[in-house]
Amino acid sequence: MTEEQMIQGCRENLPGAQRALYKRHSAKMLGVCYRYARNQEDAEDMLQEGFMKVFSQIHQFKGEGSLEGWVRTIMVHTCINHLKKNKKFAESVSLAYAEEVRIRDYSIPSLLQAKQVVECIRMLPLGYRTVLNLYAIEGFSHKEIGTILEIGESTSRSQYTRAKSLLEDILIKKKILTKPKEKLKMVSGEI
Amino acid sequence: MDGRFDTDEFEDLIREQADKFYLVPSERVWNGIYNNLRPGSKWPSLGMGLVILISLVWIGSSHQPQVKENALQAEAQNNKQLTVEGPIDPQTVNLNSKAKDYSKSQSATMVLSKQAPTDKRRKNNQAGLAERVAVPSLPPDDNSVMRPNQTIERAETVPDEHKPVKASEVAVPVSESADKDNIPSVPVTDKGVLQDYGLRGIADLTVSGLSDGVMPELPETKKIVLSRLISEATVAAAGVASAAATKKQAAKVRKAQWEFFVAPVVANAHLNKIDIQAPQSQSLLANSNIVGFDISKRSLAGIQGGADAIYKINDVLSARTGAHVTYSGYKIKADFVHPTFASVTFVNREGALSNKSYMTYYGNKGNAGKMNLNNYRLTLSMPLGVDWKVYENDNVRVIVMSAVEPLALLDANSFVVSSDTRNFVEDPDLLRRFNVNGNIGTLIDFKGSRVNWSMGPVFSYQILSSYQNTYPIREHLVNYGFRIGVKKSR
Repeated sequence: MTEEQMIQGCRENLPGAQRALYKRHSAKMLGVCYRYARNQEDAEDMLQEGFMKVFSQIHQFKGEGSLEGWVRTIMVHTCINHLKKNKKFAESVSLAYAEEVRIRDYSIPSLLQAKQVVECIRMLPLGYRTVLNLYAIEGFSHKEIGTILEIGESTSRSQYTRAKSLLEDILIKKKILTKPKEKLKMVSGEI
Repeated sequence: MDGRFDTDEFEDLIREQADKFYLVPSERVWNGIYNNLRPGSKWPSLGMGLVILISLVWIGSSHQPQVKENALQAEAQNNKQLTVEGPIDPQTVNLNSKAKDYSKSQSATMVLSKQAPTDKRRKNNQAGLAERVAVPSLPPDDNSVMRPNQTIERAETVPDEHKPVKASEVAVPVSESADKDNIPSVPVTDKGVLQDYGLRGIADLTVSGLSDGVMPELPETKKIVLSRLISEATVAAAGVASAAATKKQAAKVRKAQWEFFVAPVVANAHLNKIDIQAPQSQSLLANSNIVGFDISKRSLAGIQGGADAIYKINDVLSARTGAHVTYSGYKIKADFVHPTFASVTFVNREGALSNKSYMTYYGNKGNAGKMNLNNYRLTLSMPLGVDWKVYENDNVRVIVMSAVEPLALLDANSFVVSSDTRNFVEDPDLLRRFNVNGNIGTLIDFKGSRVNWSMGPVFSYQILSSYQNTYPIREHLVNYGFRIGVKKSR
């Protein structure tokens, strides 16, 4: 089934096409949700909600840009909305809370590479993590992040600076990155 | 999304690694999506589940008492003859050992039939069972029978790579060369697989030596080949580690949440009398049937404890099952009277009446000294129910739970009223060994950092009568409790 057939099938609400679209993108999108969520169960809830939106709004997809990018955008917004429902999220993006954050060495998981990097990101406080996900991975600007998270642009910027510094420390402690910070390099070669 | 030009190596590195990462969702997610997109499609499965549940309840409640019901029917036939023949001759009455020594026991039972049917009944049942067990064996060369070695042969031909792998618990990073649209279906799950693919030694090298950045002394061409192999093996090893970690984490999230609880309960009984329409030939027994129905009873304090396993179905609903032990009952206000005979009339499914006499010390509504008779029940039950989350915030969650609860009777004491309502007699054999409760309750979960406390009122109603259908009074126990439980925070 080509992508066009799949999209057309989803517009006609055909179960086979919907299943094909889900199968093709669900693993990648769960990886996206997992970076925002507290645990895998929450991530799966976000994924489910996101795909419901994808199938209900598929008629809005005009074919401009990739389908994966469109699905991913919906997923990210679903994750943010999911987090916003939690009141603690608002607290975690405030600077006062951010000042007190410390990461304990023994809590760093002993994993490898992509999974390890993602787990290290997930160790960050929720506010840090969200800003870092949106800025460094999704490519949003601080202005856009401020609008999405309903915080100031400067707050987003400072959150990101702290998140980046904290994550670098964790990655260096885990020997995933080498010092100095100016010349970051993966220890295990060109992966 | 505006384009940014100020990305540095750090962002590139993070993005690159994050893009490689994926997780295979469990089938639950697709089922949830499918059911939401097509709400009507879940009714067949719900209906099927309900049918299975009802079947289990029916089997539990009706199969066991059937043997006793047949026995009572046989007794009814004997008693019918005695009734027609005329008044009871005291010389023909056999008292069992319990009745003979009534100075030791509080009550005694008198059976009107001339022979105790227990042994005969047991023999008949055993004979019947033997007949049923003696099924002729099938011929050895019958083609419809699968021989054991056939199964073995088939099992041996299945290659390892076709054995099912639980994809939901596997997370591996995608390598650069991997086709992102075609996620590999057979992930590497342990070091042994690397060895199976002829990479013996490389797995060890990757896991131990590579992290030190040490490359063994080899010719240049071999080094290139080795580097490539190491790179691939590293990806595989990453898969091994990440799969193991994700499996561990997924198992933690997926497994049932256990709740341990205790609930002080106050129980009482709801009693109903059924009208017996006796045929003309049995008018004598019918006339001795219950005329009034006035029993003074009080609630009795009891306790329930157990463990529940809670499986989350979706955001709102959770399934609940577990094991409960309950001690509950009620007490009857009785009078202590001189030993006397009291009779109870039974009616079977065909409407035939039978009578059973007991020796008793307990009177009803008399003027003698008052005493309490405790009708207690000790039961083991397994609830099968659903929790409905009606409200949740950061600190509390309000749940309405409902369940059907098949139960088995472990121990009991049962005093039933005689047919003329003047006496109480003790006969635990009248009790059903299996029954079903219907439960409903409201629980408030108080979320803590390590454990969640849950507490709230629960109400339970015994759906089937405590006694077998032959006894014309229906007793339904009602429990009111306050449940206090604790479960580990997720």
